[in-house]
Amino acid sequence: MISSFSAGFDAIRKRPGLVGLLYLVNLCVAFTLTVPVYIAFNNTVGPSGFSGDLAHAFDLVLWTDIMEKAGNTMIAMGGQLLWMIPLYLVWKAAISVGLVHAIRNGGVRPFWQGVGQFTGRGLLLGLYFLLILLAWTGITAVGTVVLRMLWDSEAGTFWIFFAILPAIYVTGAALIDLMHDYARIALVVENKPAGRALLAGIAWPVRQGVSFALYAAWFFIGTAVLIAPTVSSMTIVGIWGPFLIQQVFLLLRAAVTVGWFGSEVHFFETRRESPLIASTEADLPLGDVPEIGVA
Amino acid sequence: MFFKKCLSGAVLAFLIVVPTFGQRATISDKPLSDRIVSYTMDVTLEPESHTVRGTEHVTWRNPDRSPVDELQFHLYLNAFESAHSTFMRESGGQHRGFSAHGDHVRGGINVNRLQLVPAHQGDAVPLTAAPLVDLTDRITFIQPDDNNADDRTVISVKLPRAVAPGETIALDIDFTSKLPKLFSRTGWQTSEQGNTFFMVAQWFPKLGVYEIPGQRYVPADAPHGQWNTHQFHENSEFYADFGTYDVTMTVPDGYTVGASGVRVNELMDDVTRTLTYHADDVHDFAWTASPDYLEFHDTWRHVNIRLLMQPQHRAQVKRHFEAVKAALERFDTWVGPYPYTTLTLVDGLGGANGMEYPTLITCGFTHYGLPAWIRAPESVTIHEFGHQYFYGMLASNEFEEAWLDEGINSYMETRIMDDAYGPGSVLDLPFARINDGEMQRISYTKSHPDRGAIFTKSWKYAFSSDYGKASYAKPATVLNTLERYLGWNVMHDILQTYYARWRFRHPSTRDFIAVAEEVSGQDLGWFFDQFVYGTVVVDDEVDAIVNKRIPALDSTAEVTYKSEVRIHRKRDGIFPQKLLVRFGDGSEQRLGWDGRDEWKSFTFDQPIEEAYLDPENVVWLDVNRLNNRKAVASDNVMARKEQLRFTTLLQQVFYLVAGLL
Repeated sequence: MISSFSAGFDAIRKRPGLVGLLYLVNLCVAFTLTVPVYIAFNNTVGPSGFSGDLAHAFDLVLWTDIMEKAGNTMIAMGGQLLWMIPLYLVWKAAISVGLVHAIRNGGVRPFWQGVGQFTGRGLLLGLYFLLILLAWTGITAVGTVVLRMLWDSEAGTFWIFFAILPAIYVTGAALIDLMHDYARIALVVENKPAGRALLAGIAWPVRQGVSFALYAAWFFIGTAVLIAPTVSSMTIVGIWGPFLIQQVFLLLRAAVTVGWFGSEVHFFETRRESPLIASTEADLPLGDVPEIGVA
Repeated sequence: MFFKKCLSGAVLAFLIVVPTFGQRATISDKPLSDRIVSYTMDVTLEPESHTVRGTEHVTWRNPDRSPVDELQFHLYLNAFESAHSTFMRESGGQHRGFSAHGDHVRGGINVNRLQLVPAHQGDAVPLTAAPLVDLTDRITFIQPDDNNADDRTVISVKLPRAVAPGETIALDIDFTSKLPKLFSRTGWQTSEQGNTFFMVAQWFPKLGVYEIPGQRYVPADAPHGQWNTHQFHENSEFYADFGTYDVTMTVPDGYTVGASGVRVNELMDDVTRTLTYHADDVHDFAWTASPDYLEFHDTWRHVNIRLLMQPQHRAQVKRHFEAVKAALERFDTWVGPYPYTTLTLVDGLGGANGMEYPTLITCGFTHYGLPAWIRAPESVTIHEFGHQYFYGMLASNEFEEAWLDEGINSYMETRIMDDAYGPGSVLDLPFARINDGEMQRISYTKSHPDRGAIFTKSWKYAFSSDYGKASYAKPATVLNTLERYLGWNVMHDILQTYYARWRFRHPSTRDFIAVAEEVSGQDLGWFFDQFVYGTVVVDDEVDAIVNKRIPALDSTAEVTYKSEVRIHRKRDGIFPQKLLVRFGDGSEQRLGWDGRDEWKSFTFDQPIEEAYLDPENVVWLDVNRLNNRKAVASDNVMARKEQLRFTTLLQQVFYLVAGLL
């Protein structure tokens, strides 16, 4: 497991271009969506003389005045998420298979080739797991109702909604995500159809218990790096300074994605029971093919 | 009645008499109020049937210069007897987020016997007519507010002969109060421990207020006074005369009782506890009983503070004590002394919470695990304590002028919360600190500020939601504005004078305004006419800044400027305020503006950088502060910061949701 964990860092080191790609797409999409925010606030507050005050301190009264004027823009931005998030999920499905393809066998394959070759099946696989996640959501909702009936008190409400339910839901969702990761790896590495990859992914953590530990290690690193921008915004004053520091963390978060996949692909490759004999895609001889696509 | 109870108790095999409690009800040796009424009650709580059954000996002294031949009582529990009562019609069975469902919500009060009796020895002036006269048949239900024949919350009793001026009449009343399932203020509810919690409020036949000529709005030259007895409404319930209360309550053993006044005696046997409470110079009496309460004690100077907590809120004991002490301290300094020797804080259940009764308040806006940065328990505790002054001692008519208790008290709440807990007094997060004053301000300015005058009878608002705004948030904002307009020292004097002059009486809006004008030495009619009696809205704007460069006539002459700040009064509210103008060379000029003209221009002979109306933030009534200020050069720093903040937030969201597929 240690070697798989460190393989993740090797993947980051070998494929910095992929880290940059993930980060830049993430940044560009978010930045583009917030351009109307800038325009709305600049029109509303810019000429008011309150801009400097509001940049340094929260003022509820002024904010309610601002939202009276700029509220529709904020709602419109929220509306943009309705199509942007599904699109981003498609992008996520594509880059995931591209990443697995690019990282496997020492990390010399072209990223875009993987995207082109596996995105369709990767999306189908993603939909399967989305259904599983929805089923899990339903199960936890029913479980919560039952638990509320058994523990019908204020303390019960508090612990159920602020501790037990989040912990159980996140644990289950993480397990599903773990299965999804290995299903995706099986889909790419073993060139399986989506249905068989799904079964392979579900079976993987059962056969390879240590994969939990590997997943958990990256999960905590990823969570910490994702929360860090919020924490830093509370402690650092200024405008560009905090933003740049936050972007460093978000760049690291992109690196975590590459490293995470790198570790899991390495783990899969070293632990799978038998190498694919009749693969439709034979392993490429290492070093013979120059890397193309993003590097 | 009390001695009879002792005698019957003595024959019980196992009797414990708890030593008498020697505490006085107030710090004064003399009566603090006129004590027009006295109530001596002996009641028993029957938990299984949710019933309080007992007797009431009530005396009433005619304060008028004319005889009075009628008494009027509140029977407020009858608000819950049917879906057709005025309260249920107004509320639709919904109150403060709680709902009435099913038959078990029904409650009511039945007067089984109402009898004229000789006044007891010790009553101020014994009634001369001694014979017992049963007046039960003379009870008639009246509906002085809305003629709703289905409302039985007020009764009138015609007396066999008029009560002479200054004479005291005494009545014995047998009554049964069936408590409703708690959803609004009073009733019973099963606790999460499986026991029954009782909040016993508005539970006994209580006299209305007989207003004499010259009192409040009764003309001084009227031939006689009149009863002011309102039906029980969705949004108001208090107006009664001051007096004394001696109440003996028998509850099952194991129940902890909290009540108005001080406990003067307690008897226990195998199955029951009998407690006697005494209260002086109060105008109501409420009590609570529950086997679940955890009891805590603290003191503040002469005040014994008793806190009855639900077990699940045990961790928040300190928060309640700290809040109420913050309130005691500041009310004492800012308004006047708290004269009672006791204060009971009740952490009740559901709709019982957030209510005020003499020397007893229900707090309880809390939840297990509530973090310290949400100060709901503190704000409710401070608010309800404030009612000991604005309602308790300054006993205005809540039905007709709710702002005098809820509104002035909300203003005091904002002052105390913000003074005691700082900028994040309500919500204290590192990235968002919200204080109480701001909350009240936006509750008014962003919620149809042109609707519902403060001076409106509580049931007369065209929109039900306007009651809360006009009785709480708007008065708090009006008085915060007045404080900033007059200065805190003057406002402080107004509060102290109002308290000193009107405590233990029934002040009106007119009386408060008279005190404000007297203390400030100003005619404040323009202020109160607009913002208390009227619905005008203040929205003043710096409309434009125009800098005109006037070319020099020859190369040796200096370039001159003609610049202008244009102010726009956008709504009908008029408020005089300051205008701060900053010039290009860094200098500043402050000017006064009377706020009257719809458009007003100020001209200068140098280029202007910025104009700022109301720079000291005096006029909290202004519904849009953002347009109070304008700069020549647009500044995008806030817009850029927010864009970057939202960008980062969206990036995080995208990473998070990416895990879904």
